[in-house]
This record gives sequence, structure tokens and C-alpha cells, in this order.
Amino acid sequence: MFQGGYAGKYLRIDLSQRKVRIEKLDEGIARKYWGGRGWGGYLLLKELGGGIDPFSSENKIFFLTGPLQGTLTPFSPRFVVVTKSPLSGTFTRSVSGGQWAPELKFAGYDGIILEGRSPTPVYVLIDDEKVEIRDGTSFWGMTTGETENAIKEELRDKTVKVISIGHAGEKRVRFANIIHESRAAARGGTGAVMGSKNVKAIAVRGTGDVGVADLGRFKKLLVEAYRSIKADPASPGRIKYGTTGTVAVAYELGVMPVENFSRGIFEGIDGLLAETMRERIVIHDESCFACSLPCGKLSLIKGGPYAGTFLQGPQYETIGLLGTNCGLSSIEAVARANYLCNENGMDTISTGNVIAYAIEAYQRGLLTRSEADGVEMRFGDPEVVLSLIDRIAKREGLGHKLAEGVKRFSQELGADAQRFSMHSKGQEFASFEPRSVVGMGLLFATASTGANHSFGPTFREEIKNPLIGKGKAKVVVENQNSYCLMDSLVYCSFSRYGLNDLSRMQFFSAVTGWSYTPEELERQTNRIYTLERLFNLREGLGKKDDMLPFRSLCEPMPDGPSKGNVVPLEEMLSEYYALRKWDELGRPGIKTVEDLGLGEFSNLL
Amino acid sequence: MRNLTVNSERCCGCRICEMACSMTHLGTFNPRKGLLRVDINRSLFRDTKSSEIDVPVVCLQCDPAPCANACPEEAISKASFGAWLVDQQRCTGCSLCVEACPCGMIKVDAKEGMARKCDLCEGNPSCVENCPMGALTF
Repeated sequence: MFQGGYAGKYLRIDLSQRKVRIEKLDEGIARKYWGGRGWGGYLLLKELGGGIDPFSSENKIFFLTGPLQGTLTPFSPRFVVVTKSPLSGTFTRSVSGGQWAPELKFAGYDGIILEGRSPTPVYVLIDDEKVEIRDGTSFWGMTTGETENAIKEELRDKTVKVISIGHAGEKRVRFANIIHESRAAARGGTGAVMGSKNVKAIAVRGTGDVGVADLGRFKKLLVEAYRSIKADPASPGRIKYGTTGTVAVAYELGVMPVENFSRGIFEGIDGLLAETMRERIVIHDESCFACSLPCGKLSLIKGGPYAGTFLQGPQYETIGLLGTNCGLSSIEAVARANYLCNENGMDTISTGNVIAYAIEAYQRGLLTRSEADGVEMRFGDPEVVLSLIDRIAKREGLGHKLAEGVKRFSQELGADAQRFSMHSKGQEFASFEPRSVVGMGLLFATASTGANHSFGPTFREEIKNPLIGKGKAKVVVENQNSYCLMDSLVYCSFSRYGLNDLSRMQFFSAVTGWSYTPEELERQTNRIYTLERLFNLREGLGKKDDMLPFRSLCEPMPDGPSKGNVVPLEEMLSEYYALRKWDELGRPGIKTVEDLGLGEFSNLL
Repeated sequence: MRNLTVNSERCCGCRICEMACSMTHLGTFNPRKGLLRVDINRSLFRDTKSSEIDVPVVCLQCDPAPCANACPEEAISKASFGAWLVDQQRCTGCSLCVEACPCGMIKVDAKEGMARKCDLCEGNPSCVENCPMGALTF
């Protein structure tokens, strides 16, 4: 029996049969996997057959919360989307904040499973106990912002919380995402899977309560947490600049990706710094639900060709991939590109990568002008970037090919073209040049989803010795496991401002009444990570896929603070496998699997 | 007389105030049962000023108070610390006060059948105490 936090039930919606079922959340599963990512990984491995096509009706997509959503626990208004990725073919999870996750809990559900495929466009409406699959034909073809507004109008309630896909999701762009109030569950193509099921949106209205097991303790923890969030010396900067404060720090270390990760120096960096953005476009600081650290920077472009563009301002990653990586040096151009990605429902990270890749391929003569739709492809030209975003989202011309992601596109161009195809397992690099911060390279190579910064970034821990491989595996494993905890309970990674794993678990205990020893905690997070590995192994992935492109491994950094460096992946990888208790080919043995309580999956070995 | 004051320019729309209110008065979490609310207008208006984006709406503790005047049982009276309080013994849940309030700041709980409104936490409002931005003061 759940004492607090969990709703104790979730929705299973079969889109083919148009059937909605309420299922009970098993307490044993909740104790073992918590929620969010851990729960999602378990469901994915348990319920999906091996080797299925991510766009087939056999794929499922899970929208999951954890025990904390809907309480005042700091940094907890997040939901996790888990599915088999059409981009990497691996387990994937994307996470978004906003208002939707707590609303789902107030409606009385811990999560939603979508399975099958609707023959026509639909949207799902959850109105407390009333759950409907409604006609979505009139919304198909709308942008994400238009969809949210139109659904709110149809329901005549502007407080209803909506997540939706844009053109990119409808057209199955392999890196399409899911947007909620200008925030994104961004990576891995979760929006394309939603689109393949003909689901345009999920709207939720919840009016019920969420209770906690020990209210007295919870209140005490809250007072302490608010105090330590305020006292954290980094908090004021976070409120003022959001994640963009990282741009200057990263650039100084040669970590910002420049022109398809080809170098470390970018002349136009001043135009993209946090102070520039704050001064030029930010108009309001905004928070997710119940978060005391408003990192959202509501922005308005006030003049020039993009005047009137209104969005939640670009974050660090977007500035890196659509800015420096595409050679753009104006924050307004980056903001406009970000806006178009959001409205089309498309991951800014992958988008910035495929565009930069196409420009380099063009310059190397691997792509003709007519193949580039007659466009003179060059770095630093906003119009090249902006027009390609639209063509990718609608799968027109060159955009149709880029919509497949950088791995598939580069394979089409031949062996040489793959040397500078910046991905791991098919998922494009995040905004960290791995030759300048090599532990991030190991993270990209080993993340269950393919290259992903939000899978346990080590940038901060590496600032003192970013170019040395030795000892990095330990930091990567620790941070990956800490992210398993955060993604499964579900906490925002910014909970590092004022919280740590100890205080995160104290809130969890006050909410659920459950507690874990440090040993159990380590086993728990190792279990979650290894489970994802088992899923990927079943899909035929292995050591050969824990890889980085030729450019990262064999082309020394040409300039900047890390000039001459490459990523020493092999040495870090051996250390990494040993720490994970996997064999030299990256496979967990039967003993490891059983020790972690994953015996039910040992037949996969 | 002391009352809640709002600085909407500072409000970041986190709704911690709604949740803190529910936690303090009911011991459970439900922003819709908070005795104040934050109107969030983020995605709709292009020319919105910062002060019009996230706007807390609180009980003004009006004097004279339309809710108190509308109450046929005279169940709503003013306390020394400035708040109009509902006498739970007298309230019949008739909802005339709800109709009278211009701000939607008094509610009748369907289950309890009784009116609820902001009581300023008897002089130490939990919404103010928990507001991270200083958008609410007392």
C-alpha cells in the first residue's frame, strides 16, 4: 500500500482498439525502479519484443512521473518519456519540466502507456477519471504552439496542460520532440514515435490531491532546502542567466562546438554570451511548477528581421549547436532558429548537428548545389539555417535526407563522409567538444541513448584536468548513476543547486515513507543503468557501438586551449566496463545481472 | 491594516504559493485548493509587459467585504490581524459569498460544504514565507 507520493495507478491506452484501461502500479516494481526512467526501462524491456521497428505499432511510448511530482519537493515538476528510439534504435528517454507532470498526478495517475496505432489523428484528453481518445484531425498540421492554444480553446479552459508534437513529429523526423509550453522532451525522437501512432497531443486536467507519508518531516526538509537553494553561491547567476551562463566557461576551455566540431575558436562568441542575451532579448524569468529557481528566460526579439518572435529563450545547448556549431553569432538568429525548432517540434541539438554536417559536406564537395536545393551552404548564414529547419520539419528537398539524422545521412554519402559525422549510436553530439573535455567523450560513447549530455555530465568535475583520460571512468559512472536516481524519482538535474543525493533521498523518504541504505541506493542505480544495457544488447548493440567518430578519436584539435588533443576512448572504456562489472566487450555477466536483482532478464545474456 | 501585497513583475509563475497554502491549510498538495492563485499568460501575448505575464491574485481583505455582506448567516467577520474569517459553525455552504467576491477568492469545498477563504495564516502567511522571488509580501 502506498503511503504517499504515488497515485498507485496508471493508464494503458490501446490506440488500435481505442481502449483505455486503468492498471494498478505494483508496489514491488515501484520500490525496485521508483518511477520515470527506471520504471520506463523496465516496461520497455518487459513489454517490447526484440528488434521491432520503432515506427511500427509494436513500439510503445511511456509518459511517466515518479513519487515526487505534485508535491512541493523542489526541482520535481518533470515527466519522462521512454520508448525505443527511431534515431538510435536504443532505449531512449527524454525529460521535460513545465506544468504537465504534476497535473497528471493531480488527475490521479503515475503514468500513461500508449500502444498500438490510431488509424486517424487523435489527441488524448485526461480529465480526472474521464479519459477519452478524441478526434485530432483539425489539429494535424498545426505547430506546437497553435495546438496548445487550439486544444485549450476547444476545452474552453486555459489551465489545461498540453504536450504536443509539431510537423516534425507528424512527418517522423527521427529527432522530432515533444513540446510543452515552449519546453521540450527533446532527444531521441520521442515526438516521431508519438506521430507514428497518430497522436497529436495529450491534454490533462487534474483536480485531486497528492499526499505525502510524513508531512511534518516534509515541511522541515522544505524549509532547509529553500534555505540552501538561496544560499548556494551559484543560484543568483542561474536565475539571471539560466543555463546560458555556461557558454563563457565552456568557450574558454574550447568546449563549445564550432562549425561541426571542427575547431575550438569562434570569432563571434561575444554575440552569444549570457550577458548579451539578457540585455537584448530576455523579458521575464519563469519557473516550472513549484520550482524556486526560475531558469526559464522568456524572450522577445525586439527588432530586425525576426522582430516579434516570442519564445522561452535559447539555452546553453541550443546556443552551442544552432549558434557556434552552425557559425551563427547573433543571439536573435539563434533565438529565431530555436523558435522554429520548437514550433515544428524538433530537437535543437540534433538539428544544429545535421545542418552543420550538411554545410561541411557541401564545402568538401560531397554534396552538390542542386542536392542542397540550390542554396549556397556556408557557416554563419542565418538564412541557410532557418530555411533548412523548415525543410527538415516538412521533409522537403535536402531536409528529407537530413530528417533521417546525421548517421544515416552520412552513410549515404560514403565512408569518408562518416569521419566527421558527429554522433554516437546514431544520436548527435550535445554541446561539448569531447577533445576538450574527454570524460564527456566517454559519456557520449556509453550513454544508453547514444550521445547525450544529460546522462551524467562530467564537465564540472573535469574543469581542472579536462584533457586527461585516466580516472574519468569513475566520474562518468558516478554521474551516470546519480542521473539514474534523478531521472527515476524524478528530479531536475538543476537540483544540484542546494540539494544532493542525500537530501534528494530525504524528500523521497518523507513523501513515500520508504528508505534505502547507501548500499541499496548504489545497487538500485546500477540496476537501472544495467537494465538499459540489457535492452541495447538485445537490439544487437555492443562494444562496437560504444564509439565516437573518427574526428574525435584521430583528428587532433587544430586550435584553442586543447590544441593537439584527441579522445583516449579505448583506455577510458576498459576502466569503465570494469567499474560497471561488465566484461571486456561491455556485457554484464550472469552474476552481475543476478546480483542487481535482474534475474528475470538473465535469459537475454 | 496589514494585508498581502503583490509585485507581479517579480513573480516567476512557480505557483509555490498555491501549493504552500494547500499544504498549510489542508495538509495535502492541491494547487486548486490554494486560497490564492497565479494567472499565467506566457504563450499568448507578444507585447506583454513582464508584470502582466505571471500575476498572483490574492484576497484583498476588502473593507467593507462583499463576501461578508452577502452572507445571510453573518458567518464572515474580521479578525484583529486583518483577515476576514469564516465561522465554520455558522456557514451553511450556501455560496452567496462566492458569487459576491469579485476576485474568485472564496470557495465552497464540495466535500465539506463549507466556505474557505484566505485567513492570512493568522498573521504569518505561508504563501509569503515560501515565495522565492519576493513577489508576495505582508
